[in-house]
Amino acid sequence: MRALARRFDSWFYAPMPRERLALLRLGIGAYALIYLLGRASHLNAVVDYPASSFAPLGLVRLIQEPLAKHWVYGLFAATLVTGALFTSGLFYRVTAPVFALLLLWVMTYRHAWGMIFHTDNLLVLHVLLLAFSPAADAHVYPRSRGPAPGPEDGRHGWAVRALCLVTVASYVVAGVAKLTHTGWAWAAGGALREQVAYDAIRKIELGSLHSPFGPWLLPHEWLFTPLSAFSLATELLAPIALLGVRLATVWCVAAWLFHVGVLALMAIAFPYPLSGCAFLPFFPVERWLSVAVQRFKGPRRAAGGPVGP
Amino acid sequence: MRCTEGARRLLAYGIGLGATAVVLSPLLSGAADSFPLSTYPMFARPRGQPILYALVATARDGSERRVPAALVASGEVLQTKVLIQRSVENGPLAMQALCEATAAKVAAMAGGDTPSFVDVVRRRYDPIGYFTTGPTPIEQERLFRCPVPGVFTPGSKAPR
Repeated sequence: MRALARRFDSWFYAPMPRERLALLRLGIGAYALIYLLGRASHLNAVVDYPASSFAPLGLVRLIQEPLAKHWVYGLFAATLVTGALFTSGLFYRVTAPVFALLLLWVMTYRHAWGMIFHTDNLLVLHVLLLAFSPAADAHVYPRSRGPAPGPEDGRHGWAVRALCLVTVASYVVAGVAKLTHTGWAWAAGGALREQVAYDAIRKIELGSLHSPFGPWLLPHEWLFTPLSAFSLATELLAPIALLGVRLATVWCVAAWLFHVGVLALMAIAFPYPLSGCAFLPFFPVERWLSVAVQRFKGPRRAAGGPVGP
Repeated sequence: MRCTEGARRLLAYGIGLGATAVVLSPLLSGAADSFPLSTYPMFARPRGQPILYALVATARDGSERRVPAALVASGEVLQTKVLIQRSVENGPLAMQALCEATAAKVAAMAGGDTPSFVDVVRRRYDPIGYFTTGPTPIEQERLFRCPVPGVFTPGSKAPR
């Protein structure tokens, strides 16, 4: 038992370069900022929703009535400002937790009108984890304000592992939900086929765009069995991604394809995993960066640029 | 204040494993779907023959057009769907408010062929049949009707 605990500890608290965690902060923070800006009109559209539809949940249960317009706009603006500071790594100990809580608030408030979307959960969880980790020990901009470089440390490893664990856990919950509600019969394809049809109908009837591909596939009933089995397997087998970079690559590609399938069949975008940012914690991103930098520098040197010692 | 290595490690375990346990907790607690902790119920159940509430713009001759989600509430179609459903659940006054607000926008948007009414309708569909045999609902009911402002509609005062 003790050997198992020690083995887990050496995995969970594994020494990792501080650059990896910092690059995850940069990538996920930049994604969050771009997402907030791109979805600004939707996130702020809540100011025009009828108060009778207000259905507080999560953190928003702290209030009983909808916020006044100026509060909605003000909190959104504050989220953008702190998000920029979070991404750059400046004043991280203060700005990171503030940004994480503001992001949680803005996203939860958007869901507090009866419709709970499931596209933003992982992003918010990742930002919360990063905010309470030493993710600004490298790649702080402007550079003059960053800490001095140091050796690999378990302090930077646990947070990366935690990001992976939370990702895997959310997919497992989604898979188990299908088994709880429908059982293994979900893999047979009937539920997915009905869902694809239902999703298209509600969009058509509400005068919106729907995926033409989903309804086109509906007469081919047999196709939904492999699609369902693949989806369920991807969700339930998510823990294999914790067993090393190779298996993580296999699972991340499968999960990404699963989201591509959802987009193609139902025009429902899960932008965070589709962008690839949700899967970054599984990979040695600092090595990717150094390879990219070397490739970028290589041709310049060959062309007569300065050569170091 | 400086943390010892042991305290630092304990904190890391608390946050890392605590966050994972919290994400997994809906499996055991049976809690309702929430945010950011979710039971991810979106594709989990067979849909059967679902009921949909919608707003349609109806001309005097009975022909109808769908009212885009953006005119009802927002460009987010799923949010709009829930807002319509909640208005229906909240009764005639809520339906009237939504119907009249939408009718005003329809009047402002429409060109020469402005519809006469906006109807709140409840329809049940066979989802597969919708695409394989035709889009006719299995059953339907008009729950509320309101006139489009500026359009002459005899008898349009009657709400139903």
